[in-house]
Amino acid sequence: MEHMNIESAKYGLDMDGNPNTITAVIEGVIMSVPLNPANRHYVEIMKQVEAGELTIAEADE
Amino acid sequence: MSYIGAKELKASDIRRFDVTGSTSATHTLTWSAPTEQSLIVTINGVKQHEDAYSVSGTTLTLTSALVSTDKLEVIGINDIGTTITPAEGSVTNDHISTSAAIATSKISGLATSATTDTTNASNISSGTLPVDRVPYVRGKNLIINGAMQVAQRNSTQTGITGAAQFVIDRMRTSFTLGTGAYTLNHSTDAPEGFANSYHIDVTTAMTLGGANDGCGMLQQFEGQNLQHLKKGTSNAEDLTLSFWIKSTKTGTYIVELYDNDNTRQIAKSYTVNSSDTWEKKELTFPGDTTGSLDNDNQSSLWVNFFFAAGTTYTSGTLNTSWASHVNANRAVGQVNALDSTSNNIYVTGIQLEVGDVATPFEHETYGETLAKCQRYYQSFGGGSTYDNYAGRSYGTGSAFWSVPLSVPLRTSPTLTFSGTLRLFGSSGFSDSTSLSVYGYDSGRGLITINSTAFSGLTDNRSYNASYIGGTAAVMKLDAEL
Repeated sequence: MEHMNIESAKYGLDMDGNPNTITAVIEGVIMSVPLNPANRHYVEIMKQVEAGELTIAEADE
Repeated sequence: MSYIGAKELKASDIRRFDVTGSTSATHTLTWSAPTEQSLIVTINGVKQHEDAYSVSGTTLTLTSALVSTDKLEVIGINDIGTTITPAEGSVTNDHISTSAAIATSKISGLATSATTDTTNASNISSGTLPVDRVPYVRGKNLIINGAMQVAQRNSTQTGITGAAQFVIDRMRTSFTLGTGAYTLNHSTDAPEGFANSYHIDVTTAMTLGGANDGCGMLQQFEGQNLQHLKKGTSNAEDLTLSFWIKSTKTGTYIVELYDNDNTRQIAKSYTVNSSDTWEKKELTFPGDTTGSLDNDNQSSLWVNFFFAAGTTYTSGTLNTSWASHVNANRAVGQVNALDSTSNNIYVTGIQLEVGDVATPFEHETYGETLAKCQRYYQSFGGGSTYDNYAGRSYGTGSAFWSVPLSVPLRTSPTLTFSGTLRLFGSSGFSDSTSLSVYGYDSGRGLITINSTAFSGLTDNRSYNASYIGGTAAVMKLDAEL
């Protein structure tokens, strides 16, 4: 029905060094997306990842 | 009895009965005597004490039988009684017992079946009570912000070509336009009784060049708010949708309900009769006995208004009964309401309620609607209030700080930030533009933000976080469905 335009995605880390967010450019806006299946942006990111349309880059150390 | 100056309250007359030549103790009067005291009984002219006889109805029984020469005479007052009808409008609440069970058949405006289904508005509609006199029921409207009062993000957005855009809270654009584009406005053009509307102003005509092209507006509902619909059971509730629309393009339009948990769908058509004229529409969708809705905080049901649809959604037969989702059957007959830059579409007063009758719109205060909308979206900063939040550093370049929420968010939100965050400490300040939600549990009134890319912080110290940049410094938390 809809297809968000997601240009890039990159993991962010918590204070223990574990991934806890994805920083993505969605519809031209930088967004910080939590790793939460109830979050609509996270759902769309993972949908595009599964479809092979998007890759989430590793976090900066 | 009446007499001069007094009103007659009830009618009565004096009766006489006599017997001669009888040897019986039992005699039948010509009237029904209520008590012994209501009679004067004489035998041979001697009045008898009331102990000397008894009476039951018309039967008079003497304690001793008469001898044939006795003369029995009985005189009594017979109350005829009369019906007293209270004057019209004279019976007040005080005269009616609190435990009185008044038959529904005696209440004008209620159908007899109201005894077993007093909440069914159709019972009221079929009586003499007009629907617009139905008692006001709070919380009946499943739609949030149906009067288009709240627009937290902005009042207008230009160049819309795709889905998932919000201007008016909770009202989401659906579908990708393909060739078209429009400006979405929080408009003040509205029918009587409303102040705002959702306004599409077409800026690039839509030619429906691609099969998947379309344009619509939808609102999604959490499943945990819909359990009373009893969807998926034999008692599933009907739903009635009512709304106002004003559109340049006349013709057939489609609205659908979409069950996101079970990928089921039903559509109804309506007609825009007059160009650029406010018209109220009412559509009833039958209850769906298949597919229950999840009891959680995620998207279970959508109301989707089509304004244009490509062949992907129009090549079949319009699905007017609940059925498994088939794209081709979703919007059959929908006109292209975006086919000219002269076109405008306005919508407001949307109400979705249980039952098969559209009742008057449930108006809310701005504050009530805003609080409902803030479960899905909140923004901070963006003004000259110089908000400050308490935080603490970790390492030399990062800090946590907490923001009190207006209401708990639906779920952990997406964070968008523009401007600069400045961290003030005893040794000075440092700036960052890198913010993220560190963690959030649904239902909490506080959210913790993580910000990085500072410099020169001292580990584990208290800092104050403040937005720098005036109106441009805004943190947005989006927990929309």
